Amino acid sequence: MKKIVIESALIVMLSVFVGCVVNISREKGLPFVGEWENDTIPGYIIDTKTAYTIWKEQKAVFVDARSKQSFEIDHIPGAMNLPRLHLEEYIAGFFSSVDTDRLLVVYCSSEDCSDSKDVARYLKWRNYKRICVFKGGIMAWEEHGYPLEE
Amino acid sequence: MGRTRVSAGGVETFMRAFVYWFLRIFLGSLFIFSCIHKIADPYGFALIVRNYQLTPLYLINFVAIVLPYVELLCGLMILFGVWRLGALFLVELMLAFFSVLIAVNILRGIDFTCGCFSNSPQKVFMELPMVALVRDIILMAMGGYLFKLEQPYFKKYYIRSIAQTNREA
Repeated sequence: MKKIVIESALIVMLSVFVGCVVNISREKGLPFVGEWENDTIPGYIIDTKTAYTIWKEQKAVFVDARSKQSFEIDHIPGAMNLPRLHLEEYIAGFFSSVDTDRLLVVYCSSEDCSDSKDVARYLKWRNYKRICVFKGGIMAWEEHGYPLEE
Repeated sequence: MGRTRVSAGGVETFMRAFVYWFLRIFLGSLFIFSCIHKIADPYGFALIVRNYQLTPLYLINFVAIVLPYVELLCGLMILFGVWRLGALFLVELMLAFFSVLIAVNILRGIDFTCGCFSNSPQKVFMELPMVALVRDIILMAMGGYLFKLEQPYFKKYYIRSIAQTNREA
């Protein structure tokens, strides 16, 4: 039994070591203590009218956190698709076209979905500094009669 | 006329050896497979850990950084036979821990996916909490049996039955 406990402890220690070394050597490793406190949303939460004003004045890049299929059906004109389920796949293209100092407005389908918050957190982790979450999402946008692109 | 006699002890030994190697290869490969997406997308895995709502917030990232490597090393060690008793013990501990987490969240009525083989929050069959719970219990039983096969008394029996087979041959 003693042997088993020693082996297990050694494996755990080795895993901690390997995990930390790989994480540090990654181009963009996770911070060891994440900013999950109170489950806060990074950046500001904006309502539909504010989102529309920002969109109209072309002050920000709109980021659609929904799936590719939903994005293809309709989206806010000019928005870029960054699906919550395929972040690693899409981020390279996103990086090449959007500077980290641009203002981003992230949205998903409605107030109930969490994809916009998850993507906002991810973008913050990826060094984007100015992020807003448009809480109402595409549903609120549509309810207000604002334009959509197909 | 060259008839081959297969004794009952020989068949039993063969079956036990087959089950032993099957369990080792299966469990080892499964744990290696299950950590690939977690290592490739640590942020996605951190989100999965967060969605369980049971890990202290300051530990979420640390768990997402370290846990995939515990799985990877355990898988490799079970497969290649290095420190395999320790690795098996850890696998059993992890499976028991995951089962408790999943069961608690099912009872709490939390909307979550297992995250066992994918970081996707989509509810595919293999990631459904009930499926994951049953699967973890089955895997725990398999690991337990493999653990039993690794025990010294089995080895004694195994060596004795090989000796018996040789004598009969």
